[in-house]
Amino acid sequence: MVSTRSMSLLLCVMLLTSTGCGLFGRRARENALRPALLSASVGIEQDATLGIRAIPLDEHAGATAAVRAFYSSLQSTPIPPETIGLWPAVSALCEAGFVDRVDRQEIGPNVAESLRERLRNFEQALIKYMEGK
Amino acid sequence: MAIEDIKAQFGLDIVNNIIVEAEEMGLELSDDLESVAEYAAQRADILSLAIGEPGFEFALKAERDNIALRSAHIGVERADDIDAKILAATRGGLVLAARALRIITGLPAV
Repeated sequence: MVSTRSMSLLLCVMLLTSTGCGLFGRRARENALRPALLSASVGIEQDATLGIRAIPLDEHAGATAAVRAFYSSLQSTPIPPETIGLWPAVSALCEAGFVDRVDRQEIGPNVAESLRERLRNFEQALIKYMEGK
Repeated sequence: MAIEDIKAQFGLDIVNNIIVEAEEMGLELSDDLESVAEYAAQRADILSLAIGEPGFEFALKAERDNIALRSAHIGVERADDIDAKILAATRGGLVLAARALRIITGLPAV
């Protein structure tokens, strides 16, 4: 016959277990996804910076600040949710840069395709990372 | 180096790196490794088209990032799935344990 004390202890253990759930997801986000995001962000920051050349001169200061804010936000541990809000401006700069760089023949069209795929993967990875927050 | 060799070597390097990282993480990605390897092969095909284009080195770095991001994304989905199963089992266990406790202590059923 199981005692009341045993059942109470069992309930406590299970309650503690339930509050620790999400552990594998959190660990995978910090140990795998975040490093991949940081690694990719180096190239993306470069793409965004080169994209500033393609926009009007009076927008350069704001664009530079946007890129810096995004990159700075990514360095935080954990990456804060507001980073998602900074992404569209960076992505748009990258895309403007791809078009411009292909026009200047600095990169080929298939190279641009690889860079665009990185933007898509980065965005999905960032969203997945935030799902755990 | 022939294009086919580059494609084969690129895919092999990437998959080997993924295996090492997965082992270090202690995650079992055997099923997912297949889908990542498939993606790596697709990207190697795309990369082969960029050989000889200006800026090829940017594409090479980008494709490595693509594989790493995709691999990590799949890893998180697997981990979330494990978490969900644990939570479901725990919640089910909690309900049963709570009911058993009520029976033992003579409290009325909810």
